[in-house]
Amino acid sequence: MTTLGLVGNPNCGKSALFNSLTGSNARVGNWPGVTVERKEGIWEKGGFLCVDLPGVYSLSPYTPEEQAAVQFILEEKPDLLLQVIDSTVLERSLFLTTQLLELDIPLVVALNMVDIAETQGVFIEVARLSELLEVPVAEISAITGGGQMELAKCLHTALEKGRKGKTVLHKDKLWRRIQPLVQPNLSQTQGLFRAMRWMERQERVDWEGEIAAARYDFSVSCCHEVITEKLTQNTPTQKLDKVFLHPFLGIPIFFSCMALIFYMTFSASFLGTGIPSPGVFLRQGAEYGIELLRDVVIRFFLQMPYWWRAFLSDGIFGGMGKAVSFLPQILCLFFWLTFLEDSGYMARAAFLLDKPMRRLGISGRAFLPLLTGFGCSVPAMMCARTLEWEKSRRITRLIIPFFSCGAKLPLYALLVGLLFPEHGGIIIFCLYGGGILIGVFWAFLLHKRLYHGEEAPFIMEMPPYHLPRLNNLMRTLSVRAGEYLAKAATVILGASIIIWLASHLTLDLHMTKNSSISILAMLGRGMQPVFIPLGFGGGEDGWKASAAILSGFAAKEAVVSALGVLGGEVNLFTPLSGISFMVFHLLSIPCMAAVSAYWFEEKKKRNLFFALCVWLLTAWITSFLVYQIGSLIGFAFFDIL
Amino acid sequence: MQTRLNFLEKGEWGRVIKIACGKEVYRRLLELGVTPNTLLYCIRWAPMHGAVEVKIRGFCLALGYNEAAFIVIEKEGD
Repeated sequence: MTTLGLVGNPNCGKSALFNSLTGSNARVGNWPGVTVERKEGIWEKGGFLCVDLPGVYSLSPYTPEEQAAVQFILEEKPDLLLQVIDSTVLERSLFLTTQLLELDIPLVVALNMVDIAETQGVFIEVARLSELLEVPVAEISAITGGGQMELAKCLHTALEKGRKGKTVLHKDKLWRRIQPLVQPNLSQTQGLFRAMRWMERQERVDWEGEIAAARYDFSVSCCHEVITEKLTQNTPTQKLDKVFLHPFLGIPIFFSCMALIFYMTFSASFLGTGIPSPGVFLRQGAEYGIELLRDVVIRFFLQMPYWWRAFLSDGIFGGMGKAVSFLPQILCLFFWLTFLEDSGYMARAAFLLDKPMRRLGISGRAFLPLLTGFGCSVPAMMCARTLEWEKSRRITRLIIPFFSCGAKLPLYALLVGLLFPEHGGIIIFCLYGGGILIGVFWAFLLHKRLYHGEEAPFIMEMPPYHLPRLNNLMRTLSVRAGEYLAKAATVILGASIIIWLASHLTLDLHMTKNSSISILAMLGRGMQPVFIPLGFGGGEDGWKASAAILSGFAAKEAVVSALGVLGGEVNLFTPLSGISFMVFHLLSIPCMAAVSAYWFEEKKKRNLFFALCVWLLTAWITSFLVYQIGSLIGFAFFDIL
Repeated sequence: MQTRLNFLEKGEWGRVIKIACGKEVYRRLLELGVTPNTLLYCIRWAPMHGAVEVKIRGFCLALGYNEAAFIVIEKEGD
């Protein structure tokens, strides 16, 4: 099948087009650099194998995900290239076009977001643009899927005609310099390409700047010919930014937004009315549903032996079912976070927070990977590739687990619901905030003491705001729900079964109803000395807590499942030891999927070992301090709560 | 009068003269269209003079304070 490479600047709508062509579910957001890996999908109507590439501004990349995109274009050579262009920034997009034109690969240009450009008063003459570039140009709408037939036609014509690389610089005065360098024994493209690269690498004369300027001159003259501009009023983006990026109010508004989101997800008494917040309401509904289902299933299997029914009821429903019942609440949180990211607000947050973040050796750009960490550490570690410098990538990856992921949430929701039903929102907000502070502390320490080097640069395009589209939000949420359920059906189910078996088998492999003599109890008791100083290992049932925390390595939701299987989460914790338990859960080694993602990105045993030590020690020391200081001051505060 | 982008105040225009910085940042700025002779307009500064948002070649570009200081400009009257 013919391969079609989708290239273009970051945030120009490549992934949206890819989704609408192939019916895939690639993640789309309003932030430059959402796609970090290439994705493949088949466009049946067009008859192409589409490859969605990370966005690039030019063919001389310097972050790993950009290198991957350029490597694909230059080395794997797709049969056809489609450059997606955001019509509102035609001038900048044509810079990449001038480089793509130099390749021997047939090229088609797709103008996306033409409607938005027109509301801004920018009208583009498509036919003239096609003449100037000497390649087919098609108008499309990546969101609605408009213009696809036209696009397919253009692609097929381009493919049949084939293409020889050609530079737009041959009219420029620089051409005198470049032409003699093109080696005659190489093909035109390779010769051109090498000559350009060679010139760009020269130290004495700044050819790189001159070539870039010449390319932009071409782009400007093109735009002059094809664009008719009409003056327009202030765009909505400018009006909104006056408020959201206000010199004094900007940062308070950001934190208020975040606090409100947590309040709406976790508060059992919404706005002091006694009515549960939407998130809590949804969770209660899910719990009720799963409880009903459990009763029905147990009644159905009434004839089965006792152990089977116990296994179904406590092992499956108590373990996996418990984890699943938190899904709606998690989705509620992600609905709002995705909403903000889709709208373009998160790029503003990066702009606002760049100065403080820079003090920590990471730039405002690290905001997105860290924010993704609230969802799941695995994509967050991958997303860290978009950062400019290795140093900021390493710091970011190390502190990502301190940004509490969605899988850690069920435990907070469970314990807070039991121990502090009235103040759920604020306590969880503090836990998230505390995790961020610990991450900040480590970033600062690493920046100052370990990794030397300059500060990370912050160079980022500010995307215009747009109203998030419901179907995009729903797609992101359904993908996340699907992942959660898939994990529940595999890792969490497995962990639940193992925990149930281990808590009902004695060392000589007999079933027992007294779980305190089970294998798991032995194991948990062995761990107790480590956790007693943290407040949750001691006592008759203390082994349950340590066994639960161990199962968190399989998946963080499994901690809740383990508590569900073992029962007795009601009496296991005092308010203080509950907090200490949550703190340990928040900061300790992430689940094995995240650890392997870290390993995959880092590829050095020493760094992995260092990271594991950092995570484990941070968790232990912080929980220790929380519990010990809490008991010293008598914890009168929490007794009042 | 030659100055650097970090001295451009909100609402002022500037023309890029040259960029004085390391290879990697230089390349990034070039590909984003910050080339000599380009006009740019300072839209706003982040709180505490952190990052700056400029309008250049029809789009909004955010630059950190240090990156702004790399860019030598000439202030333009209106």
